[in-house]
Parts: sequence; structure tokens; C-alpha cells
Amino acid sequence: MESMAVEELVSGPARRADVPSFDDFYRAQFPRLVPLAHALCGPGIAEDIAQEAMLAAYRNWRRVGQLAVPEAWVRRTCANLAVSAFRRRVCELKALVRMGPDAARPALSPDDEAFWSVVRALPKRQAQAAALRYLYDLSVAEVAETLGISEGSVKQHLSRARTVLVKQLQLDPGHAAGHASEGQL
Amino acid sequence: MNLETRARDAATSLRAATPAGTEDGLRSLHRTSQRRTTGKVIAGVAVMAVAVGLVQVQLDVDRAQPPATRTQELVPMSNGRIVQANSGTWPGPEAPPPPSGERSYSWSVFDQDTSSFLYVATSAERRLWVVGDGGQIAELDCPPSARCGQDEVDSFGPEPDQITVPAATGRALQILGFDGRLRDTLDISGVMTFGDDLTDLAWSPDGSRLAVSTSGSRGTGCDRDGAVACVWVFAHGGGQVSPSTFAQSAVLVHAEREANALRGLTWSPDGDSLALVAGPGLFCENQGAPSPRLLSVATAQRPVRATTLHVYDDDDPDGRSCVVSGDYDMAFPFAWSPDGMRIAVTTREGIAELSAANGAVLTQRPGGAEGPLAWLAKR
Repeated sequence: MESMAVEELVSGPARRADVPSFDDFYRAQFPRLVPLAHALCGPGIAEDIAQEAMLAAYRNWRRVGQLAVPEAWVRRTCANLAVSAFRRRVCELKALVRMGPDAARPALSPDDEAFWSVVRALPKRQAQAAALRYLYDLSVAEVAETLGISEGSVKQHLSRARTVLVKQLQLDPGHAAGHASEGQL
Repeated sequence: MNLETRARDAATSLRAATPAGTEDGLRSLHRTSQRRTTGKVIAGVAVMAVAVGLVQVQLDVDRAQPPATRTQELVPMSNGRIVQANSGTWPGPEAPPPPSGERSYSWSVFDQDTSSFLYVATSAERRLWVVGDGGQIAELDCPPSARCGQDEVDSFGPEPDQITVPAATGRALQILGFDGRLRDTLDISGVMTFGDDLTDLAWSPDGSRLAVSTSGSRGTGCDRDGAVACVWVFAHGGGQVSPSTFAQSAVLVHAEREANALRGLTWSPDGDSLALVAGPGLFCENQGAPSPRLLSVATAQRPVRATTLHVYDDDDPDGRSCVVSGDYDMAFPFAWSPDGMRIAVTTREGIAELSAANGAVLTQRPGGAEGPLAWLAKR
């Protein structure tokens, strides 16, 4: 992510003189948003969740489009929607009603699916922090700003997530000891 | 293999598995937005028509009639229609108007006493709207010290013009007035260990008791062997709610398997029963005299396919049995009937009305499973 004051990424003042095209934003960001939803709520409803987040961005586009990094806003919205029990049930029902196959997409390997299953089983803040960290390679500060929580909380969530992931997936603990730092999870 | 390598591989394959084409999704989004906007316009026109009618009627009634308060004796209400929420859009003519403005929102809580609905913004910014029969009653910003709308953990109460939301710390609750001002803070850290989540909260209709559900990993504040989720009931001695008068009551129920399993806390209109949505592994606790009767609608683990209604057995001396009364396919928090005799649940086949006494299916009718239910009173 670009190096700029992280507090301006999500809630900062308008930095753009012109509002970019939402359609261009959608085409560029939707494919990057679906993995976040997939990581947090599974493959069946990932696209529905991402679409809901994009719809929220669209309805607020006059304001969101002027943010320095509008994708940070839509990631936070998507992450919140993905861990919302109510929203997940709405999307599950939509998927049930749709009764059709998902769009053609390569399936994850069992190992990869198992990895994200463990992420999804984490407490929601830990899952959000881990998914943002892994998928977008965000720094602790950027994860904190995206989720609207303190950097200390993010470090704690990531550290706990790492402990669970290592244990559940029977991975080499490596440098798991101590607090999570920029170089770790 | 270490975690970093494993995570990098998993992230790479997840990114590679995303859809290549987005044009269909973009067209769908525009269509959805158009539908919702059209729905809002129609609802707005309908609301204006209703409002004009209400003004006409209001001119003929006694304006000195005092507003209902929660301290008044609760008068049984007769059952009106059941309405369903769908991402903030209400399908029926009895539906309340959606909040104004170009914002994304969803229905969160319905208050049967006042026939008011609480909507929360689903976008990053957290705003709340209170909408009644006659339109929008209040619109307020969530204070920075609170977490409004997260996982729909909000409740009206304890007073009719108040909303209770989790504090940002996660171990306290904040009571906000409809004007957005902080009225009180309730410390619930006694029932939560660090890392526990607050999964739901609900004030009883008279505002005297507060039910909260918590979940966490092993070693949660439930203080039960193997418990991962609990429902607690707090009560205060009457009068103004304050931390000093707010005493903890016993755990009502705990679950031993699925975290976040206990939610959908809903009091019956008379406040005698508390219903909740639960997962498997449910254990009822020995209840003290002040505790409400417990009614649980249980869901299977995801994906939601089958549910079982449990009715707490009052006659069980050990207080640990939940009587299985039927299997239902339930996906959303249910609604109590205004007369307190029935609960409505959303099933895959439609909406079922169950006996609140024994869980028997009284009626079942087809209908789309579009969202949470609200059972309106006939006034």
C-alpha cells in the first residue's frame, strides 16, 4: 500500500479533486475484495458479501470516492459485513435461493482451504486482522486503521491468531515467541 | 513449513481463485441499487400518504394522552401482521420507512411496545436511526467510545427513548439517549474474561432486566467447565439504572461447542420468558426464582439446515434438561407474537408460527426467507 498517513486512508479528508469513476473502481477492486470475504466467511457467499460492500461504496460514492484510498473504506466495510452473523445469514439464504453453481473459479487445494477454515474459526477481530495482513500484506498500522482499532490491539489479535494457526495447522512455530512485529504475522 | 510460508501460499491461491470477469457483477450492482432506490421512493410516497392520514386522525383524538412508559402496567396486545426485513427494505404496505439519506443500513432491533425499529449503518461509519410508525424518530451518531451496530448487538432500552450499545472496550455497555448523548455506562466485566465477545443483549420490556450473551475460547467468564458461551441476566432494583443498583444474576444457559452460538436474545412481551437462538451443546442452568422461563430456538452448525426448538423444563429439579420439541429450518432471529403465545421463525419453506408453550407448529405458510421478522401489534 502507498506510504501515506494511515489515518487519512479510511477516514481522512478528501484528497482528490475529482471523483473517480465507480465502475473503474469496481472493476479494479472487486476481484481483490472477494478473497477477503472468502477468507472470512467461506467460498459460498464470498461474492455476495463483497458485492454488498461494493453496493455500500456505490451508495456513498460521492464521499467515498474522494477518500485518498477508497479501497481501505470498502475493505473495512467488507470485513465488518463478513463477520456479521446477520449479514452472513442473509447471504447464505440468497445462495440457497439461487440454487445455482458458483461462477466458474478454481477451487482451493485442501491445504489452502484448511488454512482459511482455521482463520474463519478465529474470534472475529483476530480473523479480520489475519486476513487483512495476509491477503493485502498490510502493516500493523494499516490493519489498525482499516479496522478502526489501535495498533496494540492489532498486535495482540495477530499474536493470538498466530498461536492458534500454528497449533491447529501443526506448523513450525519459527519465531512465534514474543509479540507480533512487522516482520512476523 | 512455517506459518509465513503457509500463509503466503494460501493467500496466493485465494487471490488466484477470484473471478476474472466483473462486468456481470457490476451490472447486477447497478440493478440492485436501482431497485432499492425505487423501493425507497415508493416507500416514501406511501409514508407520506400514511402521514397525511395520521395527521387527519390525530386532529380528532385527545392530544393530552400521555406517552406510554415502561413503568406502566403492560397491557396484552393482539396480534397484527408479521413483517420481514430484507437488507433494510420492507416489502409490505405496513412497513416503516427506511432512514433517509444515501447510506447503507440494515434493520437491527424491533421494539414491540413502541412499534419502533432500530436501523444501523453497515458501512464503516456507524450511525443509528430510530424509525416508528410515523417515520423517523431519531438519527444519532455512534460515540467514538461505543461500538454501534457491530453484529447487530444493540437493544432499545432500558427507557423508551434509550438505546444500549456495547462500549468500545467490549466489557461495558453504554446507554444512549435518542439525542445521542451518553446517559449511563454499565460495567459487565464481571461476566467477561479478556478476549470474550459480547454476542447479544436485550432489555426486558419493562426495562428492569438485561440479558446478555457472551462467548469466548475455553476458560471464558462463564465459569463453567468447557463452556464457550453463556447467557446472563442482570437486574437492578428499580428506578434509575446505575452501576450501583445493577446486580448480576445467575447464568441461564451455557453452550459447550460453538463459539458465538448464543444470540438472538428476545424477551416475551410480558417479560416472563427469554428466547434465544442457540447451537448444539446447550445446557440449561439451575435458575433462581427471579429468572425468566427460557425458550431456545437452536440452529445446527453452518450451513444452517435444521433447527430444534428446546423448551426449558420447569419441572426438572436439576434444571439441566432442554426438551426437544421439533425440527425447523431457521435462519434468522424469531419474533414473539404481541400476545406472547406464539413465536414466528423463518424456515426454508416460509414462516412458521410455533406455540411458545410447547414448540408445536401452529401454522406454516410459504414465503421467502428474506430477513429477520417483526410481529406487529394490532392497534
